[in-house]
Amino acid sequence: MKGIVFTEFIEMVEEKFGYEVTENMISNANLPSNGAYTAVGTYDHSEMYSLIGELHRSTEIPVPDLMHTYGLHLFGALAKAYAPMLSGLSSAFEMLQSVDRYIHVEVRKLYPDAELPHFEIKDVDEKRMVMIYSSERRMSDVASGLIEGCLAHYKESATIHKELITEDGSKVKFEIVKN
Amino acid sequence: MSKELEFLKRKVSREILARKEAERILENKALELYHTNEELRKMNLNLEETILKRTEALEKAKSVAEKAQKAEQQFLANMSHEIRTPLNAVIGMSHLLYDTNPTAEQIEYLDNLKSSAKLLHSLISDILDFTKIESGNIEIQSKPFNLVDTIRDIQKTFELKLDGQPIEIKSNIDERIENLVIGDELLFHQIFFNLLGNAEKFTKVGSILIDVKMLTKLNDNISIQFKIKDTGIGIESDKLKHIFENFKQAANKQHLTNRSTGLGLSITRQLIELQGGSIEVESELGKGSCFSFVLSYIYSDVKNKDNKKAPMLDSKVRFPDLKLLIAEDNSMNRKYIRRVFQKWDISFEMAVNGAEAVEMAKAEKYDLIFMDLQMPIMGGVEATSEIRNHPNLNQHTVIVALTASALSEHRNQALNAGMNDFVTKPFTPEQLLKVLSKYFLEQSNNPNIMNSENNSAPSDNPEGQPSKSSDEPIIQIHSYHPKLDKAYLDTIYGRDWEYAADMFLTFLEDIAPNFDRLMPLVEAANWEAYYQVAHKVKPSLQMVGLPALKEKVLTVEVMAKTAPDQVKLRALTVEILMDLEAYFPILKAQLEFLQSKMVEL
Repeated sequence: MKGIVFTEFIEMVEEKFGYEVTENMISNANLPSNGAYTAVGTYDHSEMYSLIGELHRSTEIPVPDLMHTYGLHLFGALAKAYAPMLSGLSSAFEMLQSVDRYIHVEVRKLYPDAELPHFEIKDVDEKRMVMIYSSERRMSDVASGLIEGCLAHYKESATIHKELITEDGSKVKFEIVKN
Repeated sequence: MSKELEFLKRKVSREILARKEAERILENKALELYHTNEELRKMNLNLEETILKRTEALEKAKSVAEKAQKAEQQFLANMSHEIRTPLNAVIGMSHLLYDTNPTAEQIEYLDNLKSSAKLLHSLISDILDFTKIESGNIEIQSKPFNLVDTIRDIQKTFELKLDGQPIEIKSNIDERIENLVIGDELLFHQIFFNLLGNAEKFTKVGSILIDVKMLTKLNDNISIQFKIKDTGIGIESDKLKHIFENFKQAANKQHLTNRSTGLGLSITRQLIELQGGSIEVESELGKGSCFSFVLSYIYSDVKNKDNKKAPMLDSKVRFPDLKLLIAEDNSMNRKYIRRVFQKWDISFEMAVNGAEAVEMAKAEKYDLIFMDLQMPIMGGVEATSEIRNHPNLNQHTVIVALTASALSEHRNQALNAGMNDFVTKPFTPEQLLKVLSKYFLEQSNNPNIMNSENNSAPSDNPEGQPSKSSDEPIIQIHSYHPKLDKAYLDTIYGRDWEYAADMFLTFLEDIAPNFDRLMPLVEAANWEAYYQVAHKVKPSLQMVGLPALKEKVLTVEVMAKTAPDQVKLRALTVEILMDLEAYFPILKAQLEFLQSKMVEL
């Protein structure tokens, strides 16, 4: 999992819960990397599960909520870090359609070792869009946060329906309907 | 506070670790990038080298191919040109052989020889045209021309060619095409001539319909659709899409007689496309074909000339009681002679060959017989012998030979066979008049004709003075147009307005249309016929005061006879036609003036 996912997570926790929660989370999680993350590095995804698990334990906020909030935060951070990649895209639907087709293609050029989730676009018109998320990381809640972050970025409003395709959450259908 | 400090300490040490890790990763990335760049540079170098090598090889191959193609084209052009010279001799000699009193069998062989030579000639012309198009040597002219007249002329040519066959040529030309169009008349002529020729070639019975329709007229741009529809053999649908390709023909084995290069339609298509047009074909086997092409021209604001002929003068009945027999097989000459004699109110009958002439001579008494020497079935010399040697109504009738040959041995042959006189073809109406007046007219009866015979100064000058005399300058200025050769016209006609009017009328009505035949003959590279037309029209130019034009015609006549060059002759012919076109209003005005003078007198 890419370093930026960890550094942004730590930053968000620091921002929202303060140093104490952050440091306790890191030390209790017992991480192989000791939490010394850099955006350009790559780390095992299990560290993310450990961190979220610890955060849940100390804050008692449900994991899906934590993940969703993180997704929201992550979109803003990615949009800032990779602004040039978004330059040609003028709407949320356009952006979402280009994730698999264009953005992830470019990301792989930068980081050949990156393991990226798939966002398959099923059905799209002016108002509605169906997107299938699939990843062994089963972090569809982060994905829904990202989608919401994307809508917010383009100042658009839409309702997101989420439906599990596989029980383990490795394949999830999102239906995004514009309001 | 110390707790917070502890957290910060931990965070800083984490950040330091992270920074070191980041530096390591970045250093590795930089190294990786450096190596990748090195590899890229090497690949680039190799690639450039490869490209250079390949480009060089390609250029070499291209220049070799181009040279080969050029050499091939040059060879084709040279060969075509070289073949034409001896071929012209073959055609010329085969014409002369007709005059050697051949037997019916020999005539059949001669006919075959002639048509094969003609075919060969047209094949070579096709190849020359094709090589010219292929090498991009065709220049598109942009000059005003009368599209409607051009179409009608071509139609007329084919009507004459189809004379007597059960094929009708009909035309329907959009009346909205009122003005001259600006474009390439020669190319148009060739395209239309080819397509009509194609229709004629594959149609044995029925009709050929020419349909010309204006599609659009925007500003000064006119788009016109030309359709040529025949009731011929048609083309099979699977062959239809290939007929515009080079060397492809749809003709099947039943039509082996229709042999040609297979370049005609390809040339036609290319000539159309060169001018930005397009051609299509629809066809049904056994029902007929319809070729349609669209060309755009600039629409000038000059009206197409009014082509109505000046009203016929009431020709004086000079030979009221004569009855002539004319034996002539050439349809063009037949029409020509018919027209001349009809104008003169002379009654006549026509035979298409010597045998028919002999039969007719047995049945009815004629005052004079004009006899072509070269005719199928029975030639003029043979027919004359028949008439002279067997008792019949015309055993002693004057027989005048019509011959294209000026050779004295032919003349002697004719005289030996019992002919009384001869007229060299192509002949002018006045030559026929001369002969008729020689045998049937008292000198005093018609001084006009005698004048034409002597080409002398007019004898009816009231003062008995030469008309060039200085005391009549006003009359002279007003008698002949300054652009015409006044001195010469004064000498031959003087103030004999009637004679002059007749000559001008004859020229405008009978001679001038012959000029229209020149262009098709250039395109057909039929130099023998071209030579004959030129030869025929040449003297008449002098008679209407156009000596400069006469010299030009002499030039093309000599060139057509001795060293025909299609490109040069095409250019010279166009020049002649344009000159003539320019003189037309002058000649018409001159005729009107002469006619008004006659009324005054």
